[in-house]
Amino acid sequence: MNASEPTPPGRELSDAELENLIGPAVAPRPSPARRAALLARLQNRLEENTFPEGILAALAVLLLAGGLLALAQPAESGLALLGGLMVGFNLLALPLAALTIIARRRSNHANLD
Amino acid sequence: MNTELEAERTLARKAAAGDPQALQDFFDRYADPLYAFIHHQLDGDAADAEDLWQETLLAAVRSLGSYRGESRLFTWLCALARFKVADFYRQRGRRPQPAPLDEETPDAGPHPEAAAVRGETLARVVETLAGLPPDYRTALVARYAEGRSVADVARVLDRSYKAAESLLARAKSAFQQAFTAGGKP
Repeated sequence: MNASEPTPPGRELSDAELENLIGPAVAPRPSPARRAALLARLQNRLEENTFPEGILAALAVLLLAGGLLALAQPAESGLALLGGLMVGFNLLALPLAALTIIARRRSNHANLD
Repeated sequence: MNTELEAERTLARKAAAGDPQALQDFFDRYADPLYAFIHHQLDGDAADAEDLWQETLLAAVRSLGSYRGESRLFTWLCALARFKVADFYRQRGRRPQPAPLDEETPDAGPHPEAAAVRGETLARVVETLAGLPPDYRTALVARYAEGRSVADVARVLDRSYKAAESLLARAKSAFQQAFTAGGKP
């Protein structure tokens, strides 16, 4: 049987027909260089996809708590100013980070894009 | 079948979560058959096939977390590849047409429709093979693609001659059944 002919239903394929189908079907292979480069790219892509969001969130919470503690210090110590800056930075950065994470997850789940 | 789907879902989940071994396993198992599938869909254009293969696998890894295990992982990859191939042809305007056939030239190449049917058939063979159990696939490829003897197949699979013969018969039957059912075992 030629690969361009339909398979007659119910008839068992002969060895020659199987050779004619399976041989050419599995023959095409990507070049080894391209294969290795793509595997490396996929590994990098996964590392980007699995960026440690949990660790970042924990750091942000610690920074916020530290900022609040510093803010509670007497104004003359200078720590209050630092605390204010830390809290202010967090209030700006946290919503932005959350939006980025949501956008990336949506993009990751856009199946068959 | 359910255990295979479950195993593939676990593999996809682990790879999506960044497990390097799972990604390696995913790549080792599916990258080459996917390339062959795309190569046949493109009627054998190697350069375009490599580009689309790369695009498809990058998109697949981005979306692995959304694989639900409702179909075989390779079937899911083939669906993604078909979208990429369709996009590719859409961007080009249409499926590429070969030079007009000259009746005076006996070696004008296969008719484009026949080439497309052949490409689709071979792509279906790749999909069918990928859906078979690994030892069936190994036996069929060793016997019918690499032209090994049954004794050689027995050595590859580390089985007795009789066991290899019996495995080949079961593999042939499973292939035939899945192939005539449309590549979905």
